[in-house]
Amino acid sequence: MCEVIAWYVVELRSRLAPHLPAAQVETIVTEARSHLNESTANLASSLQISQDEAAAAAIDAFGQPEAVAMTHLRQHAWRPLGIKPLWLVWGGASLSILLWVMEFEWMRGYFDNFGESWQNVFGGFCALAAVIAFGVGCYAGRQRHRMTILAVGAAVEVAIFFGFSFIIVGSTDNGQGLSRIHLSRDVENVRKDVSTLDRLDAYVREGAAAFAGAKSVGDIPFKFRDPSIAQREVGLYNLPLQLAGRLTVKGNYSFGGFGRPPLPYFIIPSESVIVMVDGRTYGLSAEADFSHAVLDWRKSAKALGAIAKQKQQMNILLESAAQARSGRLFFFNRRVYSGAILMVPLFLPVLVIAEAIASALFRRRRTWPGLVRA
Amino acid sequence: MAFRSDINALVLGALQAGPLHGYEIVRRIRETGGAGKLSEGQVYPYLHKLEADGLVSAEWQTDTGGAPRRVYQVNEAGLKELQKHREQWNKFVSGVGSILAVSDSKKEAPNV
Repeated sequence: MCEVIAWYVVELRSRLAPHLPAAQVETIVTEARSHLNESTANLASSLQISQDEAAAAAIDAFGQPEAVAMTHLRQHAWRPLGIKPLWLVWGGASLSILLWVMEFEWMRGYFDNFGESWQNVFGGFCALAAVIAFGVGCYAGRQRHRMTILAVGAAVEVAIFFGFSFIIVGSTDNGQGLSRIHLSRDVENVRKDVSTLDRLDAYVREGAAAFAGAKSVGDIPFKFRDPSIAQREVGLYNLPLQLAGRLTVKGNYSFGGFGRPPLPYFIIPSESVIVMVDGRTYGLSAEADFSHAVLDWRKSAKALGAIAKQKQQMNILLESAAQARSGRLFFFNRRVYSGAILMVPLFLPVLVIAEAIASALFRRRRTWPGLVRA
Repeated sequence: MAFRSDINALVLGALQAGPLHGYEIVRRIRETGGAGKLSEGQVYPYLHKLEADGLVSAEWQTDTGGAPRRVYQVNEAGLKELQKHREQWNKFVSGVGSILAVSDSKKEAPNV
């Protein structure tokens, strides 16, 4: 046997050995050697060329060891749970990108438009499982999938453009929109937000007047000191959680989760009013020092401005909902889909890494000298 | 040939005349041009798949005077499969043929 054929056999064996049973490898390698020898003899006699030249030509026609080995390995592809590897590759890649985008939208503020909190956390785990399924599919199929990643990425971008344009109704500057699927529920929540903002507006005006005329702590009505009263009156969501973010005097009390801080302290208006389209509104903060609280209430005009702006945003959403009900689709409204579309390329490196790991595993070779016995 | 899956049909077709070893099967398929972009070595996996599917049987031939050869033979199930491929192919050819014939006749007699 020519040296070049011996080399070929070793190369082929080293690529098959880690993945197939020894007997099967032996069959494939023996057949390849027999084929190459026969082909070499035929070429040498028919073309009147040397054995080495004929062997090189025979190998050229037979194919590179890696390509031949991969074709064999693909024919013996493992089917995880009976599923074709290609389904895992496409399904895993599409699902993981979509879930990543959904999670991003959740973080960005759409939140319950796409599901309850536990559903979003569950979605995160599903995205991880989808990436693993994609990697398993790449490994089982014994094929490179770099172009597949690009193709799936492009397909998801198109799906997001049309899907989000269909699902999301309107969108405001703070990146929120209503879900067409849950339009009645969301409209009700936004109306609730508007009435909460009205109550908050009245509460802030009343508080500004009360603090402006107060000479001492005793002049402050209790509703501006007790968060539970404020929460009940205004209808804010989870006031203690919001209070935790703005305290100039620290260490006086511990919330211990959502516990109520001890008196004395004062509720003050917050310059940033957060309104979620799922019905939650944040708009108040707290201050432990009376003189600081008085100064904060003097600046309540900013809070009133923020409340007015949020009311405007909510009214835009209500108008959009009315348009949606009369059949409008929100295509070409880049606020609806631009964030999600920009997020897709950021996720593709995750799939590229998973594919590279799978590829390194299915292309691994065995190179110890014991195999060199051709 | 248009579809790579038809390699199976070509292998079965090559074997219907009688048992052949791998090199001879590959040579016959290459002569038809049916392997497309596949190299000679990439035809063997299809042979092994047909064997695993029970459509052909194979046994080693050691009395060749040289390296041992694996000789393949199509069985009843393989012949039935070949018949299916043949019917599909005939259907495909007649379908395409009828479309091409219509195109040709239109060329010959254009509307004035």
